[in-house]
Amino acid sequence: MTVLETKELKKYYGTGENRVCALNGINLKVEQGEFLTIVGSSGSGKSTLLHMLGGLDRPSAGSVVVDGKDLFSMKEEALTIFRRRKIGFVFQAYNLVPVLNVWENIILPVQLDGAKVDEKYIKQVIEVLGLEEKLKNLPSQLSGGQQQRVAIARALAAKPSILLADEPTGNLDSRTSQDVLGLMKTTGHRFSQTMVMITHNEEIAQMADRSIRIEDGRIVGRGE
Amino acid sequence: MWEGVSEMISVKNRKPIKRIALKTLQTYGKRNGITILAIALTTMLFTALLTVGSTMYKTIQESSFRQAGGSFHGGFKQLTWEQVKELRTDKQIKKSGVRMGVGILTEAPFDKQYTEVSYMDDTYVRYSFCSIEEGMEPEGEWEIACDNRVLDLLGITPEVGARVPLTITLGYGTGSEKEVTGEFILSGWWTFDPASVSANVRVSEKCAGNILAGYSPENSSDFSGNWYLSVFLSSVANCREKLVQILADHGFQNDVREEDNYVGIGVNEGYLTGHIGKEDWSGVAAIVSLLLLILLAGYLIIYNIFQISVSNDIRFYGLLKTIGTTPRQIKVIIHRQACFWAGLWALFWHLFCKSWGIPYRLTESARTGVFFSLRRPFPCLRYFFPYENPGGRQQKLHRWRHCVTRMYSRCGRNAGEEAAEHRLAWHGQTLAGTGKKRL
Repeated sequence: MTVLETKELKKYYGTGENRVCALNGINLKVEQGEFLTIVGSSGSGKSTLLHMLGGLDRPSAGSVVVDGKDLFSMKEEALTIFRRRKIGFVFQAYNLVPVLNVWENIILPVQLDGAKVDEKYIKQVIEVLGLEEKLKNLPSQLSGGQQQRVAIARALAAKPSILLADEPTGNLDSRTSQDVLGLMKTTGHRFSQTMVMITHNEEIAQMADRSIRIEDGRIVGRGE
Repeated sequence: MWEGVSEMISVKNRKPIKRIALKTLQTYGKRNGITILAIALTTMLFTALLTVGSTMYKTIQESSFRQAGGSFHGGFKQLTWEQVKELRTDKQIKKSGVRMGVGILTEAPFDKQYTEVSYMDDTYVRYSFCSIEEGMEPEGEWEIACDNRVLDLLGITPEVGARVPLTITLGYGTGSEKEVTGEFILSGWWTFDPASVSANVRVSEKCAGNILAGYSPENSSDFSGNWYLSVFLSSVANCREKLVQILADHGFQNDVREEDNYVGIGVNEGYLTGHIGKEDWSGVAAIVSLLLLILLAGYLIIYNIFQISVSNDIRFYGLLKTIGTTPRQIKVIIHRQACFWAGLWALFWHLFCKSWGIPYRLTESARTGVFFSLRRPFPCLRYFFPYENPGGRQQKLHRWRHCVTRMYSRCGRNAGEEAAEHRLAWHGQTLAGTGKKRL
């Protein structure tokens, strides 16, 4: 079952002679439970694509359909609510709320939605990610690897259909990177989540079910 | 799977929003505090600048009024009573006071102090710095009131009923002066203003009639026996032109002294703008430009302080947006923080006003500001300050009344309904007193 689909997705920045084409007609389908990696060199349009898939940025043309719903047909408020229910994000810079502790950070998306926190499920996620001892700590009191685990836990907390990760290991050493990726794959399988990850590490790309390569805003290679 | 959008928007998510706002305040409190302080100080700086400017202007203006002997916009000189009655009907005159010249004190000890003797009506007195400070208005046939300079020169101790011998020169400067000497009764006095050119003796209307009995003004420039009409117009701008227009509307003129319908006019020097004619607006333009410059400078300083503060926060709010905080929720977070700082500042201003004795109305507005700003971050304040619902306090008092009545009736201490009501009234007063203190 297709959970995420893009149709002729285009994104331009600037106008006239200064116009830059970041995405130039991307057509992509991601099946439920699939682990997809997007690889490409710097400036190829990977992050722009991920932002479009997550509804963080609006395309110049084309559409993104998540769970049968066209993201950009929605207004800003509705899109934000849809995003926090259906899509989880993991960023290279962790993006944790510095004024909240680990537990508060993890349950924040659920609380923002006004939903009841499923403590049993979240404790399960925390256990898998090994954060039991750090729940009262502020992000600034954690290492990079621990912060990224918190970010993953937060992304999983709202039980999203899709997990979008933008170079989640970019700021981590190789050993911690392996741990984090292993955890992401484990949690993804365990909680039946579709995962789309950006990386320019070929080794990491090999761990995915499928990988696509982007150059100059176009998909230039697809591989199983 | 996907529910309706409207259904999704109405959710109970105040708690996390409140927590983020509060924790952000705790974490970035110092920085925000400095921002607020910078804005407050800038505001105070410009307020002080404008206050000093306006106070200086007022002081200079008041000093000019004192020299001129009054705060009327202007006036008409040497009139007959018929002319006064005629001119007073003009619609451009908003308020007027009249004075009748009686004479001048020229003999020693007044040879070095120019002193006028005249009758003034109540309005004229009020705007001419001649209000009685001790004693009463002169009303009797030979009653007078004067400033203490006159009494000092005569060596008379100021007391009501004191005898004041005066020699008054009528028709001073006309070439055919006449002197009237008499002993007058002092009814009251006021403090002489050293800035004033002239000392003043005010006589009652009857007394003026007695002194001037058998005297008719020599000519239209005679002080004695002529009337002076001083007026407030709708505005002081182009005062001279307006006075000339009033004269013209009633068949008088101010150009040819020899003509019968000539009437002298005077503009109060205290009103600088009173001199500004149609061609003199460059002065006003300069003042307006200066004010605009000050306002622009203030705006830019405060804008830049905000800009620096906001650019620090943009990343934080962007982060909140990526994890699913809606624009509305972000607005609520910012609003809560803004309310907190506004409330804190209003509280400070309230205390500042109280300690420096600044007028009550300002402290009242500051107090209201404290409540309105702090009630969002601290909803419990609603109980103490039921401003939103004016009946709220009464309803609460009513509930109290009900509870206390029941309590007393249950006690059954032979008190009876009357005694219970009496105690209830006492409780009510105490409660109201507490409420007042709280407010």
